[in-house]
Amino acid sequence: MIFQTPFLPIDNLSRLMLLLIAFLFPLIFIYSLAYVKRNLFRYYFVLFITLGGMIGTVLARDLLSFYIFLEIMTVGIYFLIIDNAKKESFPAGFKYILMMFTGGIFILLATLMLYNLTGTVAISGIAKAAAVLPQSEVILIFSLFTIGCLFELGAIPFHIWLPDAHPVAPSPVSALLSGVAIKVGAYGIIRMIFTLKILFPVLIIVGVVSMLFGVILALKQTNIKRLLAYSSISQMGYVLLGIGLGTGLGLGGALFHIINHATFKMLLFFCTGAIIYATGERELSKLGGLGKRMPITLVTFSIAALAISGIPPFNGFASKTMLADAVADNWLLKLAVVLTAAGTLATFLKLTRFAFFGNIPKKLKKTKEVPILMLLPMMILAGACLGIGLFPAQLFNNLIAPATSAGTTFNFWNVKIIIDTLVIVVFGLGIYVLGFKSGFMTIEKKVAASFFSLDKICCDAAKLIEAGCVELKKLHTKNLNEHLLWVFLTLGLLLVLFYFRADFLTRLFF
Amino acid sequence: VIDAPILIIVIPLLAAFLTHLTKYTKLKRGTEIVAASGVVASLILLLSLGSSILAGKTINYNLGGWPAPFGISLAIDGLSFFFSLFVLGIGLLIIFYSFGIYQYARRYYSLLLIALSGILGIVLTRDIFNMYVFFEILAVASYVLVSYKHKPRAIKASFKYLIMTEAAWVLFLLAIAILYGLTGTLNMDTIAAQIPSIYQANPQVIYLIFSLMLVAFGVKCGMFPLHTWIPEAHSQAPTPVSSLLSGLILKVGLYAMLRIFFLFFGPTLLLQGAGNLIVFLGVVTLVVGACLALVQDELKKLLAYSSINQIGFILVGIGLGTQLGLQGGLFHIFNHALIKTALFFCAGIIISQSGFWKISDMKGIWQQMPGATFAFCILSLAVIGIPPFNGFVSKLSIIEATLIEKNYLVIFFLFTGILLTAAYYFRVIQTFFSPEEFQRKPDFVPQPAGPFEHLSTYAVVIFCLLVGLFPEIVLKFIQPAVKVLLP
Repeated sequence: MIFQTPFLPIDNLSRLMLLLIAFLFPLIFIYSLAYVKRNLFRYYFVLFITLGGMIGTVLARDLLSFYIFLEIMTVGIYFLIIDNAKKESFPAGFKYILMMFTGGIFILLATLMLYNLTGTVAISGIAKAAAVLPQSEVILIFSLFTIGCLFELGAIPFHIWLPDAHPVAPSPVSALLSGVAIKVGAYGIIRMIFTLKILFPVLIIVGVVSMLFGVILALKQTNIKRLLAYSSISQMGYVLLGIGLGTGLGLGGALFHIINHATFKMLLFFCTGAIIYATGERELSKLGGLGKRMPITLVTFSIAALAISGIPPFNGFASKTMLADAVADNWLLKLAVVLTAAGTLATFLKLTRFAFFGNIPKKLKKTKEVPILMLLPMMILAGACLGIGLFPAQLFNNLIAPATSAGTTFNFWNVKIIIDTLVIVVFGLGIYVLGFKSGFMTIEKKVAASFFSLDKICCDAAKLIEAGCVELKKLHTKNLNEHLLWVFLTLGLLLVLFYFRADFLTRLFF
Repeated sequence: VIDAPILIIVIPLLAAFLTHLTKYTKLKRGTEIVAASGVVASLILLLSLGSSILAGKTINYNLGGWPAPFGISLAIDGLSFFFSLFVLGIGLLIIFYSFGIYQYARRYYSLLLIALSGILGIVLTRDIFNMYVFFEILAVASYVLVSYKHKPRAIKASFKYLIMTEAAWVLFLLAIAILYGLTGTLNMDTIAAQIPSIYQANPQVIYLIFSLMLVAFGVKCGMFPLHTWIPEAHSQAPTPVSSLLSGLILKVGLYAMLRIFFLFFGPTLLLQGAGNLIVFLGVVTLVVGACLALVQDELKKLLAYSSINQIGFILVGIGLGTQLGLQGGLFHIFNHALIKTALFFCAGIIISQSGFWKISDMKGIWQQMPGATFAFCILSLAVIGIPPFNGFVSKLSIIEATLIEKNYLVIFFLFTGILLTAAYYFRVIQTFFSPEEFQRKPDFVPQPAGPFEHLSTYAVVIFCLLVGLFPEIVLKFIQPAVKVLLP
């Protein structure tokens, strides 16, 4: 078969991703110890299979192994998503697994096409052969591979599994999904860019669309975990923007943002997990005033919220300034970056305001802080957010810049940061005030949005397929006479075709 | 052993009749022991020939000492060896599974053994009429097995199976008669040598023979629109018999297709694109099978339609007719036989413990039967083609073979088929994991599955993983088979 040298040697990009997983996974494990109460054997069994799949994807030295480990990870995450066994977790899991398999098919197709062209699936071999391949084929294969990765990564328009899967999964699993699983998709694209040495500016458009629409949809959400899910889409847009730019600064910023997003988004999911653990509520309208009851959660949550909005000295600002610098000559992209950051700030202002401040509902009067096993990972992550934010250059120069193999350097602490931060804060407050005045942002759950929705189109298509299958089943009678008739009709049809048009055989599919 | 080919067929047949004699002994579980030892003896005999066959030799045997064109001759080559090996292996597994169920008496085991020796006869014979006879032996034994429980629905399903298959065999017999009239012999190799000259003189008659055989084997292997007997026979038969039907009897139709089409029509029709016809029928079969499986509410019926779906993949591999395509097709024949046998075992365990046949009633059974549910999940991942299980390797070969031919339309349908397969299996899996508290049927007396049922299922699960990780184990047996088909 075509399996070749599945592991080793590790390069800098793999090492970076591996360190990220190695840092985050123990935290998920510790958090789960307190959070998960039922079906422990099943949960940890699948959790470790997922871990194996994730490590495999970043260590894989050939594309087939990458695909294999990706599928292992996908199946593992499916069983983690349905672990809650709620009514809505099954449709979400179903959507997740089918979309991931679709994405996997694109990756497999690209892999096999590369294998047919170069005779190898090993990344080093492909990189050697890529220079002499015809450019059109390379672009086709890269697009297929990228589409597959975009499914994994949840970029618009392949995002529809993401806002469904995150809220229904147990909180540590949501953190795993947002923190590591979707990063694997970004890793795949970066790996492929390094292998095929290709520039792909279409990703900039995908990135900007994901950034803007993700944050607009996040502003509207009232379910706290769904809000975080949409925010993940928007943050992955930044990563795609950086990848699409393809410069040393852009790729460095993208990788840096992968790390930063993993830390603060996991922290956010841990904090919302703490809220759900303590109160059992997910809707903003039923929450409020938790700040006094859960002070540590409030502090860690605020750190994460500031980090994700790009406010120094928390880590989000470092990668966002890099990306803003990378697009500096294009004011349209710059505007998109700033607007998204401002929108994110407004989103998290809303979340913090209505979850932690205001009047506490009667039902939640007895709320207590969550156990130490949950607080510990949250505090570690908050420390990481602050640490990376204070010393971004150290992390960047030692781990990220080698991974991009471009030798980029960047000065994080300059005067522009103050202006940028001020702009973001002003815009963010403006969006917050305007959003509530105009009624765009609310905390009351609305009945299904009536405007154009990709999710609805996909669900309708699925229903259409099922209706077609039901019709087919109706056609499929149980009458023996008819079945015999089919047999002889088939024979008759074959004979007629052979008799009149013996050449029909060669025309099928050609 | 010079007489090995005939002994491999006769030993299970002999054991079939010996099982009835155990009535007169005081042996505890004598029937089961005789049945199992018959298959094991045959298997050992076959394995003893293994090294010389894998080296590329063919072992011939002439019945009654009459030389080839006149008498009936048997032969074991790479293809026959591969098929008879997994037939005996899965046959042994099915017998092992049946141990646990006490209601299976002597009649059951003897019919099972007759069916197995019928399959072995089909696989080993080189005489086309003799093949027909063995097909009928297999068919008669399996009709009785399907209706073994004497339920009205089972008898109806068995009757439909009877009529449909016999219609197919009538066509096959007609094709044999025409061939005999043209060539004056029934020996396959002699006929094959004469076909090109007949084709030159009169292509129409070859078209006729090809069409008759395609329909006949199509009925047997479940090609759309000839698949209609499969869902009912599979769902009404007792569990091990469903496994026999799906795992082995469907594959016999594919064996006949491989053997006869490549031997007879290899240099003539298949070169001219008859393979495309099989690819086309395979694509239709896999899409229709998947679509119908998507809306089934009966677990065993869903598995039956899933068999049709998978047969479609195999037909695509066979129809491509390239080295890689055949390798993938043969590998998937093996994998599907293995996986589907065990999936029916799982379904049997679940049904005999819960009393429910419908998927919608099986909510939350994983808490009651974690082992069977786990096995079902792994096996369905394997049949979908998710790495690292065995189904992935064979489907990868078929897809790669299609991609080399640049048949992008076929590629599209293959992937659609895989997604639909995932959809209907995950529909079942999510029902198994539902939060509802499982309640068994009120007036149903559960028959908890014993160690035999569980062990035979788990053995397959482990083997699926092993083959997925080390496909070379099976590929070693497949390569000689491909060499026979593409000399």
